[in-house]
This record gives sequence, C-alpha cells and structure tokens, in this order.
Amino acid sequence: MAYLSTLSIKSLQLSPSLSRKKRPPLSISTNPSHINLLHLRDLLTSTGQACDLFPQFMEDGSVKPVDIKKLGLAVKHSSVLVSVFVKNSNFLDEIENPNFSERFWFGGGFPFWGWNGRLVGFGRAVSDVGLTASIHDVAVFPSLQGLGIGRMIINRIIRVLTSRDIYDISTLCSEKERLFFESCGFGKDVLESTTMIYCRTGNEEEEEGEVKRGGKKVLLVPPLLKRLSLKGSTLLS
Amino acid sequence: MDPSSRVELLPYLWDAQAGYGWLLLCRSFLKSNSSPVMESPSTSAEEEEEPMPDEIVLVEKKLPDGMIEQIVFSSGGDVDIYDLQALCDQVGWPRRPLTKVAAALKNSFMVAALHLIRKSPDTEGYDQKVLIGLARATSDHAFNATIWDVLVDPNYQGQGLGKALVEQLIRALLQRDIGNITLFADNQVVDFYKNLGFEADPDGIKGMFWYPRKERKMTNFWTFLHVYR
Repeated sequence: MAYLSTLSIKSLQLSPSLSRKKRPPLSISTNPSHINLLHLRDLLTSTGQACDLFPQFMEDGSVKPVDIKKLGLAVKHSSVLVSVFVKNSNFLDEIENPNFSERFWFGGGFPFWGWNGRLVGFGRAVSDVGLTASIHDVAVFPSLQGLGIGRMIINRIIRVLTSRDIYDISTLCSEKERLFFESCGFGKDVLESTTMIYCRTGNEEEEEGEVKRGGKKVLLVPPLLKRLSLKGSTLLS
Repeated sequence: MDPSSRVELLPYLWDAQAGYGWLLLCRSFLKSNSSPVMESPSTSAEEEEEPMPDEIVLVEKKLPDGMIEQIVFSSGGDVDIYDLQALCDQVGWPRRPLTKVAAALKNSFMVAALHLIRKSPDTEGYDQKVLIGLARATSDHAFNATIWDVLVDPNYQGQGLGKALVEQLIRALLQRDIGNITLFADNQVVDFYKNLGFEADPDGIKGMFWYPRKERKMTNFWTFLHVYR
C-alpha cells in the first residue's frame, strides 16, 4: 500500500514538468572551434539530414550518416556557423530534479560548450562575403524541437550576415521546412526567380559520360571544354 | 518518417582510441580560437587541385589585316571589376557597389570568364583583352554550390558560349564531389537552364529569400541571371 502511494506521488511530480515543455538552459555560440564534428554528424543523423538535397537512406529507413571529411570541409568553408549547446546532464537531471535554479547553480552556472555541453542545434551559412549568402543544414535535436531554438539559430545567422552588409540571404527547403522558414521571415523571391537544381543523371555502367554521385542521384559530368568548331562563323565580327 | 524514434539518445562516451584520435583529426581542419565571428572561405594548399587547364582557346579567327582574334575561356578568376561593370551595363543589369563585387569575386569558389583577345602579329605582347562572358559559383567546397551572375555580351549570344561557361562550372564542381548545384533563374532563362540539365523545384525543394522587417532597399538585391536571346 505504501509503495503504491509513493509511486503515485512520484508520477504527480513528473507530469507537470513533462506536460509543459520547458526550454533547458542553452548556450549559443558562433565560434567555429566549439564544433565537434562527430557530435554534429550524430545530430544531423538524428534529424534525418545528410547535407545532401537527395540523401541516401539505409535499409532500416534512417538516413546514411554524412561523411566526416566532407563535413569538416563544409564547416571550414562556411562563413557563419551557429551551434547551440545544452548541459550534458540536463537530460537526466530534468526528471530527477525539476527545480531549475537548483540544477543550474549547483550544476556550475556558467556557459558551457564543447567538453561539458552537448550539441543540440546547428546552422550554417555559406557566403561570398560581398553580395549573397545561403543558409544550410539547420538542425535541432528532435526532442527539443518546437521550443524556438531553430528560430534562435536563424536569427543569429541573419544578424551576423547583416552586420557584414549582406542582405541577400537565401535558403533551400523542402515542403516540411517551408512553414518554419516562413515564420523566420523568409518568403518567395521578390524578383520571382525559379529555383533550379542540376539533376541530369547518368548511368554508372555507361562508359561514355563521366558520372558523380550526389546523394542518391548519379549526376552526369559535362565533358571538358574543347575548341568550338565555329571557324568562319558569325561568332567573330 | 521519424528517424528520431530509431536513434536513441545515449550519453556521449569518450572512446579513448577512436574518439580522441578523431577529435585531433577534426581539430586540424578547424581554425584556432582567435578567429573572428565571421570568416571568409579559405583556400588551403592541402586540398587537391583538379588539373583543369586554366585557359582554353575556344575560337580563333585570322582577320584579313593580319590580326588574330581569339575567344579564350579562363577559370583563373582574373576578372577586372571595371570590365565586369561595363559588361553588366551592356546586358542591362543595374549597377552594384564595386567593393562588394570585388569581394564576391574573390570569395567565390570559381569564376569562369570569356575574354575576346585581339592579337597583332607585329606588336609582341600587346594584346587587346575584352571581357565578353562571366559565370561564377559560390560553394562550401563539400556539398552545396550556387551559380550566380551568368552573363554573355549580347553581340556574342546564341552561340553556345553561355552553355560552355555553365557546363564548365558544373564540371569543376562535380569533380570536387559537390553534388547540390543550384541557381535562381529569371523567367526568361528557365528554358536555357532546363536544356543544360537543371530542373525547377525537384521533389518540392524550393528556394526562399529573407525579407527584413523594415522596408527593403531595392539596391541590395542582385540575384537574377539574364541571358538575352
């Protein structure tokens, strides 16, 4: 009888913190050296992203993890990198100790990243540092989605870009992500341009025509430029 | 499809051999702590360079007065911004701040240009060089690339030069395993790019642009590609 009553009290204590989703204390950083590539790869895999527009999927339905070397290159050549960290122990602490202030102050109470923080959000932007920029790979850990973390990441990226006088910011998104980007202030191009993606596929077995893999698509590589056979044509006056 | 249900969240366990070794490997890719918040993309010598010839003579014609005219394709990126501004004026594009254009050209992954060169057989080394075509691509050197500013002098359009520019950009990008090649095409050039193998909004993937809350200044947006026919 006593065991049952303690069990019911515990469940009452648990339910308030689980039904109202509270945002755990987060640390947001734009410093590239705070990024751990393995953590980043795990985060992207958990959200079903692989940095490709047409990612490959494995037999169990999950996405094929992105190549670490390529991820390192992409991170190195991105103009803006935003990462969001949460304290490592937060996930377990939340259930045992719902009292936020106790958890925060006894847990250290200082900004955390890298060694004692866990990557839960990421976003990056590629830019030519002059005219244009494009945002890629915005990911937030699934159980922490819907708390405004994604919007925080986008706003930080935009703030950094506009401080460098770049206002032409684009992004590519599928149907699912459109609502999210619309709520962040993105919309159709004012000049009504059409987004076009290179999709000319080639046969891997065919000998003529070099092909390269782009995610699940096998893309045809155009041949090397040769001298155009236009001698005596109207090309030159 | 909900992959989160399949991927369990486990506390990150440091594997002394694999994890730390990977961390050292990964850190060697990243810059040091003292780097600024936003950095321009870097080109390091450790990346392998594709052996693509820097300059290719596309067309050569000998004129009756002895002068030789050539159209030369180059991917070295040596484009004069004043030449580019003159070419944009000819095509009919609005002017953009020169410092921004220079920075954009410097930080692009590749700038493919077409120059018309007039050589005189008498005067050695004094060639007339005119910019007649340009295309540039920005990329993160790994996954994504966007092609911007494709333009060809109206006097030389309709001859396959624009196609050559874009195709060589695509070739260079694919050789580096950069698979997501995108661009934002104006209505009148959608067919031109369709002919080159581009598809509009495949699988529902669309491009979106940011709208600042204040009144947008039109002078800041240059994202259209014109090749007048």
